[in-house]
Amino acid sequence: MATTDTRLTPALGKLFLLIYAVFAAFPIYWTINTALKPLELINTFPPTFVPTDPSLEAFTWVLTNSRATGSIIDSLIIASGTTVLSVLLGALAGYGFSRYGDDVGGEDVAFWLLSTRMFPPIAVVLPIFFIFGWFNLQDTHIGLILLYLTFNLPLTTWLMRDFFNKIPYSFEEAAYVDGYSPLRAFRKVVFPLVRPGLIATTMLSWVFAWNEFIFALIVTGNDVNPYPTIIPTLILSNQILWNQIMAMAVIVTIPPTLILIAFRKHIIEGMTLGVAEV
Amino acid sequence: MSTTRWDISLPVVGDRLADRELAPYLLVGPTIVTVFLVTIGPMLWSLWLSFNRWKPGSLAYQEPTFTGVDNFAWLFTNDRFIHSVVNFAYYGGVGVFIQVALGTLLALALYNYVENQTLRVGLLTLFVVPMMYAPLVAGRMWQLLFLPGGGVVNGFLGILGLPQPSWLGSRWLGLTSIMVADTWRASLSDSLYEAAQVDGASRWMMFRRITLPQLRNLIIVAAILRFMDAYKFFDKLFVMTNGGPGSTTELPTYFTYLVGFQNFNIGRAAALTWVLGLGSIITMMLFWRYMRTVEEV
Repeated sequence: MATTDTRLTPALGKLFLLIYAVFAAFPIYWTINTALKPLELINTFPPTFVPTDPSLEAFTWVLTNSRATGSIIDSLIIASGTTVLSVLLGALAGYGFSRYGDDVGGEDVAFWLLSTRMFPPIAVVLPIFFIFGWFNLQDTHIGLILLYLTFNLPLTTWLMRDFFNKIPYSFEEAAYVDGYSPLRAFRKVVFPLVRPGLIATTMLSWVFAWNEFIFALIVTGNDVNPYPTIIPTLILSNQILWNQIMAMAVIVTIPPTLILIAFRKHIIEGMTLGVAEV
Repeated sequence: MSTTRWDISLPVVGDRLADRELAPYLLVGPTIVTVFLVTIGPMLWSLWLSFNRWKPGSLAYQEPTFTGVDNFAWLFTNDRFIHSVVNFAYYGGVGVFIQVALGTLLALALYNYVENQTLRVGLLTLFVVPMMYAPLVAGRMWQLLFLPGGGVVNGFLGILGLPQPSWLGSRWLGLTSIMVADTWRASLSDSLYEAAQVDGASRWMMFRRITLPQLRNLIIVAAILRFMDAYKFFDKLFVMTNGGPGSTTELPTYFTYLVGFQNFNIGRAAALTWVLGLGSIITMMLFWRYMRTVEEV
């Protein structure tokens, strides 16, 4: 029994991986494939697996249409703005929780911060929608930047707290003995060590903000149009412009994918770490 | 994650005493204030709203009017809400189970049966790329794949001479199709990958006897994560079926969205969000307690 297991399971395991790899890769291939086809070759039977005459028309449309490019710029502004704010605040708070945790409520407050993420986003955006109305924040960049702090700030705080916890306090103590001020000790000793974690946190919060949809759907849509709000406008009453939707999909998925490849280890860790240690 | 570090206070050296006393508040304060302004404060207001009838634009309830627990009574007797909860039980239960099981098997297979380091990293990256898709974009992609006429899934089935169902056109099949899309986007959890690296067992017997018990806590954590995601699930449903046909594939968050932003029944929607939020927290606490008991045994 055991011997058959040793011979059989590796083969089964590899077959399973192969099947899953096809399952994972095919939709990615199909995104690109559809973006390269003219509309009449989409939704044909049999399916057009390899476009005979690939065309960059849909990509040209995305890159020259002012609504499409404008939406990508809006998304860039919002994702970057919210990332700067949430990493700045989250890094300070993470350091605070890591080094002075007990003075500021300890684990409880940190956990309580994170638990705000357990509510579905709609719970936050429902009251915010009206509050934004009073302050003229609906349909503005700054409004969405602030709104995205609701999910990104607890995340950055929690992640940064964890990264700071990995740096032994004795390093700072040694710096104090050498006569460093707390600020200088932070800059010279702690910061260089925490930098990889800081970069990963930055990238992760950027990706989350970049890909967000429901908040954007509810509080923007006229003056400010993040890219997720533009995609539905490509569904016309009589046809769906699949090639343009998929060209848009390719273009907006490239930045997160490049980030993933560049920071793979940290990103995959961060994706689960944030909540895995609740 | 030791807390011992926190027991050591900063050295008190002359003029730095002030720094030490103020520093914690200066560091943590801005974040607490921000979270209060953008999350806690609005949600407390929404808790108050949940005891009010408020329908902006209507004649009778132009302003919030206190109605006690009417909104809660309404939602617990609302068939459409209960229908959406049943959908969630299926979606969350079956979906999370499949996704966590797949994630575990993938991690174990990846570690145990792929010796080549480059290939392993390549496969791992491939499995995580779907996570970089915006959920909205992933939903559109799968909608295209699942199109009843001309979609590539039915294209394959047609070539093989098999029946071609309308994947998004009915309740259970629709929910299952959305589940497939969601599984595609996020099934490989890294905590499991890490665990497989440490505890890698090369045979099924060893897996069942040794690895699985060791992995149990990590699997539970992964399940909690996936369950939290399922709770918040919205985007893919929004694009793939829009809750349809009719309202058959609606999940609770989507129903809340309709009540709040289509009917502008704000009090009722607020009551819904609080029931969902508390439901989520209670579920987490039950998971958590279960996990503690497992550890103690």
